[in-house]
Amino acid sequence: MTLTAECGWTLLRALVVGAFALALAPPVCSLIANARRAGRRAAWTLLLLPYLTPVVLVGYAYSNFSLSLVHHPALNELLYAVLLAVKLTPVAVVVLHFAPSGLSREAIHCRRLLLGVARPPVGRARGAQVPALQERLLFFVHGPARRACVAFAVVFLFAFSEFDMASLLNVTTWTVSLFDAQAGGLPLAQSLRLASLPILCEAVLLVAVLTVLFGGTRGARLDPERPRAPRPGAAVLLWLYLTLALSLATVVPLTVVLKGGALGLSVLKENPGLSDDVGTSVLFAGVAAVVAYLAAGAISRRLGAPSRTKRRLLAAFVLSMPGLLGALLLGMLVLGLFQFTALRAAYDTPLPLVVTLMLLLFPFAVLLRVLLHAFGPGGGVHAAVLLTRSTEPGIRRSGTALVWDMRTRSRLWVLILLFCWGYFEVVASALLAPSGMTPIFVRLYNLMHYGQITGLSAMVLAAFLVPVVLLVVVEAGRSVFVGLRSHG
Amino acid sequence: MPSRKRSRGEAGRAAADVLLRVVVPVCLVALLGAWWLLRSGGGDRLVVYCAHDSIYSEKILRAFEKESGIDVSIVFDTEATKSLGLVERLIREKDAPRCDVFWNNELLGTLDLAERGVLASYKGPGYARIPDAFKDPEGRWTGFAARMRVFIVNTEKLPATEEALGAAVDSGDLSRTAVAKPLYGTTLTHYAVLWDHWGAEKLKSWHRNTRKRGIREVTGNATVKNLVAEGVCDFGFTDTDDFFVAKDEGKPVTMFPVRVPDGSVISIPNTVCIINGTRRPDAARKLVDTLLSEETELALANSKSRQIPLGAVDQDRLSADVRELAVWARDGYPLSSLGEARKACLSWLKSEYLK
Repeated sequence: MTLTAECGWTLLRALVVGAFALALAPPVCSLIANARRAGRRAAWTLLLLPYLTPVVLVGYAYSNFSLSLVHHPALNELLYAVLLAVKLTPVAVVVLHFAPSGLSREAIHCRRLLLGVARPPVGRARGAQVPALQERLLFFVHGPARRACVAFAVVFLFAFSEFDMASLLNVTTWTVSLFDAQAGGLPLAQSLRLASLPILCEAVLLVAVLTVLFGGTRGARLDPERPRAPRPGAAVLLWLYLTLALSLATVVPLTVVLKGGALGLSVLKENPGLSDDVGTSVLFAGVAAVVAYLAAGAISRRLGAPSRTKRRLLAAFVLSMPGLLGALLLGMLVLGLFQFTALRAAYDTPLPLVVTLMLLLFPFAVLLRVLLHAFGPGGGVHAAVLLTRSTEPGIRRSGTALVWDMRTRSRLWVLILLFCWGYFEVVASALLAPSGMTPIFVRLYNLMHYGQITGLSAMVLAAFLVPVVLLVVVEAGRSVFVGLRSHG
Repeated sequence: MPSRKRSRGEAGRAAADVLLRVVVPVCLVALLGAWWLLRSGGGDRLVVYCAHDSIYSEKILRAFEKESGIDVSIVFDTEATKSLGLVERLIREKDAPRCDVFWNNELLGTLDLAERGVLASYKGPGYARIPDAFKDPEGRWTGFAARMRVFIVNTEKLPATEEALGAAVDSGDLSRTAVAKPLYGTTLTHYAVLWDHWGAEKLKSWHRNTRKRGIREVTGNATVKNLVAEGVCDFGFTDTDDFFVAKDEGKPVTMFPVRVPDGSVISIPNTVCIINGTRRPDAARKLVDTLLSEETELALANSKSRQIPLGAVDQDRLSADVRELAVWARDGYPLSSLGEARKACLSWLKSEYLK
């Protein structure tokens, strides 16, 4: 299959995955919106865990099963598409749930009133119906379609640029072929020429989405209308889907790793280099996450300001675009950049990888910070901050605890999420890590191609402990934070 | 009093903000820089590009590090693109090399590097103990510890005889046969041998014919081994080291050497070479001599990969498996003249696969 054909096939798959996610996201949104507090929490957990389970882990867990399907490529393709869809549907749900509506409730009401007055009579001349159709189309684009377009586009971009799982499951995608071509010695310029078609696909979509996103009504806020609750039968099916998705994308992979990992723990003692590689990954991911977080904070504050300008939006777009191209294309571009004479001195340093990881994390950092800004309990936090200024130590302490619960914890979770994305990244790390600094998942990814061995499972398990430890530290940090700040 | 408290509190918060926005990132960057300096020894470490499987090679390189006191930074290849990734990287870095020693797991890529002037000459004691057939007369590369191309056969799916295997190879349906993509690694060497022996047209026709008959092309030799060991495929083309992984796991597999029509086998040595422009020539030479020593060849022979020693070694210290392989390897197809064949074959394969 030529790269163009592979690109077409990947495009088709991404469209199907996007359509699946978009079809499922609205009912899941309504299920979440109408659930009670505990139910909502459970639904979010079931929904988000599959997405947060690292792609490499999922690919590794299913690689043996995928091998057994070598005589049934269609089934293997189906397996990959299902796993992708299950992992990416949460993205569509999050976008639909949180993204601002393009039209305010007032605008929708005005439209209804206008339609009531100006609806063309039945049997009117065909030419006269054109404005009505245009109006309907415009309403659709700026109203219901706006969030759907964004949700679809984000899922599509993820699915279209996916590499790690495709490679482990022996699936045909343009990303795998391009990576092979690049590693197989195709000159960078030629690799980039081959990549021009997928880049074009992604760029066209990005421009279209950003036009829709930024071209909407200014000042429109989150849609206050709660979606209608799903019927009881549909709700049962949705819960079933969420449980199945969790099993497929999280429980099965974790079981495979834990099962093998427990048997091969002795291998860890024989691989002292493992901790060095973990340290390398932690530092790369840490630097990239913190810088992306801070940069995104600056941008999102400006985006949220009433005096936002097109220039700022353009800046956000320009800064987000490289990251949305995916690790492979971005990694190749940065590799090419650092082979120019002027930058060659920095080629074998951590700089290329740090820059790439930062650019990869930036769009997600902006999204998460905008969401934090939009959904954070602004007034509540302000009140809690006021409590921290009290002269009474008890009140000050309570205020500090509230600030932690309402603001600091969510910020730290965002940071950890960004850290995890950087920590689990493979492709850019394989292309750009300097000599002597092998990120842990590059090493593990290489070993994964040998098939599942118990020692490898133990290593994977050890590598996954890092984010878990971080989460535990964050949760345990509350008392330290409260103690420090309330005496500040 | 409250106002003083408030201002103190505000100052604390401002300090915390500074801590988050400036001190934390600066500290992390400093830590990363320090870690990099430590790992790269401030550019003073011996940089080794290693295409041989990390699970076997790392132990040897770390042992060298310990014995010699020379710090080593290792860059491994990706399993899916074995050896070719590093060869291309070395070509790209020719004008500003960062690698000192290249441990390749095959020969033909090394020949390409030698031809392009990437390699420096060195003839030390290690070079002296390797037979002429496995080293460059100019000393730009030296072979050691070989492995062989073999058919791996699942004995539950196919009788463990050469006749049965021959019939399966000649059958019209190869959909239960696996091979790695020939763009990389030892499968590329296999193709280059056939290109040299048969000529381009016959190889191209054979390649297209096997694909037409449904041969399963996968990412690497390890995947071929997995497919056959699990009984998903009946037999496949792989290397001895991968075969022994399956055998050691107790899988129902046997192997037969892949023979070129003239009866010779494809025995592929590891190669080691020093990169032109190395900043640490003495350390590089020391490592090359260590890798070409009897001890290293024995260590690789007695590892799970059962590599075949090319220099003289104490036969009593070899396992029965390796002694049998060493007998087969005597009929090895001469590889050191295949540079042109490999180049032409790879160029054709790229046009086939990377359109």
